[in-house]
Amino acid sequence: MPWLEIDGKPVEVPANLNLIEAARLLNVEIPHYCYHAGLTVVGSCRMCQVEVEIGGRKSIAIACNTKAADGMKVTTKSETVQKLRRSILEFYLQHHPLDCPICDDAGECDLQNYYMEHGLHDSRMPLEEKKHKHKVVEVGPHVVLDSERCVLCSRCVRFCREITGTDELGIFGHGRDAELLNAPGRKLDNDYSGCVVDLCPVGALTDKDFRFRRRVWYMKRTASICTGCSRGCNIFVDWETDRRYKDPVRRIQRLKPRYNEQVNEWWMCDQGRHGYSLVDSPDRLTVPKTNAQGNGHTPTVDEVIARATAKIEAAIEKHGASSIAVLASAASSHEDLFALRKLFVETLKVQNLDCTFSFEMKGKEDEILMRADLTPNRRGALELGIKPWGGEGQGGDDLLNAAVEGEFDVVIVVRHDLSSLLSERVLTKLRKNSGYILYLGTHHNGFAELADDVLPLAMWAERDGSYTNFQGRVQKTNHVFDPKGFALFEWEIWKKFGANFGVELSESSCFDLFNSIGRSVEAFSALTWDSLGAKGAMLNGVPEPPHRRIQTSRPLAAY
Amino acid sequence: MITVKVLKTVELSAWQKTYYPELWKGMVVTSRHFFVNLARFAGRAVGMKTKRPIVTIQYPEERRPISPRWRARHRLMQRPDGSPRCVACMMCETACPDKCIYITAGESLDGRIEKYPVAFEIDLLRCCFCGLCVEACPEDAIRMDTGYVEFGGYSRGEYYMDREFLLKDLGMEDKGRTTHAQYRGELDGVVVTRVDLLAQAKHH
Repeated sequence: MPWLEIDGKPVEVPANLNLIEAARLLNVEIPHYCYHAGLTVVGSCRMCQVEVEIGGRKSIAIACNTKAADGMKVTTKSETVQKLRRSILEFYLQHHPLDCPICDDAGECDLQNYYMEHGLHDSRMPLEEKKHKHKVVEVGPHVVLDSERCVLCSRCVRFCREITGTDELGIFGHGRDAELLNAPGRKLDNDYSGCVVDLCPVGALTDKDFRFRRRVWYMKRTASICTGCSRGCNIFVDWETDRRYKDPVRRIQRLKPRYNEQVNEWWMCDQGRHGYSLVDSPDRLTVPKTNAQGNGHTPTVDEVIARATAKIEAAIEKHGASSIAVLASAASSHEDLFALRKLFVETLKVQNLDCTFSFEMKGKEDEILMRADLTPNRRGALELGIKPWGGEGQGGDDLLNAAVEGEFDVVIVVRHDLSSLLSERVLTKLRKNSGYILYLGTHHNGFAELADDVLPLAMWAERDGSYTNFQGRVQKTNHVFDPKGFALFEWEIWKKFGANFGVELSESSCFDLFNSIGRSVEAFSALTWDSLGAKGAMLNGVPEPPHRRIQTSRPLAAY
Repeated sequence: MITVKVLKTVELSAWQKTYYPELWKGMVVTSRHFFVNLARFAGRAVGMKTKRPIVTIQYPEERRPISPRWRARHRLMQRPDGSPRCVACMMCETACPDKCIYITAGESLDGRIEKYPVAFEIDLLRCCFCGLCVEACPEDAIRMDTGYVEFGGYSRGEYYMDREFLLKDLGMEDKGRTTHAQYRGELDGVVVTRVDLLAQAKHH
């Protein structure tokens, strides 16, 4: 554990730590472009040069490739360093197009920030003599490249080599002709291509989906997790704030990965990154729906719940609890499933309940982040006691088949869009054989048309909720904005149902519900909502998985 | 501490209660202004050097000249080919304290420019005419020099100006707008600009 001095402040840092990271421990920012903690060090940008004094000898060194050593004295703010930074910046800005007004990165651009902090020089380069390179290059289906803005830090190149192992990008040419481009004949079409946009310290690589959409200073950032698969990558939700009164069509502007060394490190997949559009989709269910013959008015939630309660009561009276089937969803949070279990399993004694379906296991799986299991909370559902129907495996499939065969009077479906999974013939059969179908869903779809009653559900960005990923890590989504229309939280609906059946559920928020789970379920016993924190916490008795750097192939050592 | 001051009601006499004395006093003031002004006009007519008489401007037939730097209704500047000069950088939208500018940016298909405003809307009812949008614009694409200051309307929708409306060539350079020199000169005299209402109406 070396002791060193950074800007006069003594600090003890872990061994093998470079100076950029060591300075970070003291909240000192050493400017850098090419260095990224998740990638190999190349030391090509020269921005992180600092004065290092060791054994009485003073020298200039790049902070990214200098390991902290005992007795080192590092100066990051001296005049020499400032001068170095200014001249390095002048080189970077020599051929830079300076099109900040139309650059999407303006506002979060390192070139801009460092210029304002360290540069502030007038350009000595006549505008006409600036080198022109390729402007709007589609390097892949999600990424657009502007070569003129590129500072050749090679972070994206290293990402494609070290993390995804696909090698789509490269730097071609020498000197002032050097240019970032696709490898000949290749497109940047790996599953993590969006990450190069996060890595790019300037606006050279921009996300096609976000391009020109919003200036970055208009957005607010909320920490959350991705609910696209069972990994639960930590993310930031960047959402619209300034035009709230103008009814923004797209509330979520983009998603960015949030560092969590145990789950996703700095990365996230493209599927998750662009999966937010469902939240603001025009197909969202915003009001309850009923197919009952009525006077044509839109029913209220309470009316629909009263109707469904009557149907459930009638079915139980006639054939007992075995005539009710609940096709629950592992995409629901712990709080939803807890309320559901309390209502159906503990009070109504319904046995036909499952949330494990084979159609949800068909995602793409790889060794980086993506998981085949597309539900964010399957492990949590199991821990909460929602076991596969009939014992083992994917009991949900059997339960669904039984429902199609007409074994149940009342079928309650949560979230699943069965119309896209079952053939029309099977759907008609299900419809014919079930006396009453209640659907709790987020979007308009064929099944919402077919169900007797439909209740709208809030989506992940509109609510607080906790989920357990496949490792056994409990993480939470945070409420970003209010649910669209009259959409409700799932647990809220079960609570309303519970009131009709005499279920005691006094909790009125997700936090209370989660804390109740902590008190009553063994696996969650050590957890409270607050203890989850930003990075989540492991289930009781589940050890932290060994830390593994996400890295698929050869580090780029040849630099 | 609150101090209380008791005021006595002034008792009016019977003569005062008829209000004739006050009416008379008022008439004296009005008449004095009338005759003094008349004398000044008469004096000027025969070439005497009098004080400046009071002028009634026959609005709307006659209008006062407005300063060339008057912040009037906005307009969007055009490139030579008629497309907006605006590059949708949203600086004006950011600078706007009233949040009355709404820009939707899009990717331009013609290779010379990258970003252009698909929609550029100004809600004039929200606008406080501070001119910060003009200051903020790096492209000199938005100006408030139309000289157009009369915003009568029958519905709120009329105050919602879209891109096409803002881009319209108002032709104010040679019509309603006065140059600075003209303006300074006119201020000293009593001359007012005559605006052909019909011609202006046709223009919009």
